[in-house]
Amino acid sequence: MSKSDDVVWALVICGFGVWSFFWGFKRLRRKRLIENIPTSTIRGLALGLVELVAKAQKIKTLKSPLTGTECVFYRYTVERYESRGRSGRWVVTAKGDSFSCPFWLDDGTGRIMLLPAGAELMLPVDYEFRTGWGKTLSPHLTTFMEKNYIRYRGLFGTHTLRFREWYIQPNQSMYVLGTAKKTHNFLDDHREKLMGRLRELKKNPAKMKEVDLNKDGAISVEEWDFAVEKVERELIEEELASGKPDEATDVVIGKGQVEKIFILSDQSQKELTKKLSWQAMTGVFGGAILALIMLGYLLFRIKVFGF
Amino acid sequence: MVGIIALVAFLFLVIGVLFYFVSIYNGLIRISRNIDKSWANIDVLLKQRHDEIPKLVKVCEGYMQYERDTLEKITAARTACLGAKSVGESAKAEGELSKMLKTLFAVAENYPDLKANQNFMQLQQRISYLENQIADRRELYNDSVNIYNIRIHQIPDMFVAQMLQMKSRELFKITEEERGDVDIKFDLPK
Repeated sequence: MSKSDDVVWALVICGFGVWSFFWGFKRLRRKRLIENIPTSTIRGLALGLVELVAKAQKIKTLKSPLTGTECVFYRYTVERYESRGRSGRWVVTAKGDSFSCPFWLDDGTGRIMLLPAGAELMLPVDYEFRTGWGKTLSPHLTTFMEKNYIRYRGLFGTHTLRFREWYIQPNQSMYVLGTAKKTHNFLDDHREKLMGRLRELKKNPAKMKEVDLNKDGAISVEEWDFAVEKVERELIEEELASGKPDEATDVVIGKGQVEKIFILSDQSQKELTKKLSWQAMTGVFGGAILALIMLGYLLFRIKVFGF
Repeated sequence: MVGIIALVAFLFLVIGVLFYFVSIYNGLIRISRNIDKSWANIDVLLKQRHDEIPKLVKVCEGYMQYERDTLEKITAARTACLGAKSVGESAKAEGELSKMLKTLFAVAENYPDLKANQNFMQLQQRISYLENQIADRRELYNDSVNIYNIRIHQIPDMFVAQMLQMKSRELFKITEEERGDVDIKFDLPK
């Protein structure tokens, strides 16, 4: 350790204290926001920032990669411990999530689609495993590591690894604070698809020849109308075969353009506000005290030893 | 050295108090705006319900020639709703209209032809769904008002609320008429 290393550390910790102080206020603001917004029902939902308490339901079945749990949402990390002298740190070697997979929310009064992209997750860890003395990787973890080409064996056996996974299971009760927004409705989607197919048709000379019913080398208005009708009929048949369009997909819950707050949690509102209260208190008071102690140390250091 | 630390501690205190009061102020403003928004959102549904009522009356007129009184009362209740100005007035008028609609649907049970009418069935379903949506939004509005009313009487929010001269807001209460049983009378000729 060089002579001024402690000064650098004191400055860093002092800076961290100041950051914590302001971070604490951010948590306080969040806590108050959660408390100030009443819970809405899906049936009575209006566009804008809404708070919902509902059960998660799958749109498609997902399996969490580490434990193979059936879920509607997952997130995982694989970390390796890297020693640096007497200390060390966890470095993420692999991570993944299902932020791009929507799922349903159902509160008994209705159902709405949730797009988890951009959400702040407030979920406790559902699965955690660390390798170490007497702890070897289970077969499903070994399979996962091999499938993803992640090295986990060193010269002296398995690396020190930490596996963590968060997931939301079907029918699990959830707290959601997000924005209810309009999305493309069925008619818009249908129109877009139809236009796309007609564009494709125009680009394809072989198919355009089929449109020319009287084979005079020119496509009349009637022939074109007939072709449009045929393409649309095929599209409708496909859409009907793929499932009935759902009214509920017209409005979705996601991250808003104006209201950036978007929280997903499997804890109750009470638990969340309690947690945020603690974080706010620790951040504000802890941060201020830490900054003051470090400032005191720096002043003492300067006074006694100089720079 | 102690002086500098005390000064910085004082600075933290001032910033802390300032931030705290700003967060209270912003919070109160947000709740207040949420109440206005919740009320406007109820209004949207009420408007939709009011738009459905003339259609319903028209469908019923053909079948319920002996229930002219009920139909006229519904039309009058709808007009009263459109003229309501305050939350209280609106709650009373809407309560009366809801009660009249319930009566109409109950009386309609006595007219099998009307009950089998596709338009009537659709309108009944639509109005019933709107009624449920209105009830949900009314609950949300009352929750917002309740949070607001509690906040402005709690310390330390009370000080900010007093500075801003914030007053308690009115709840959308269920009227006595709405709470009572539906009064069904068939005006069939004797």
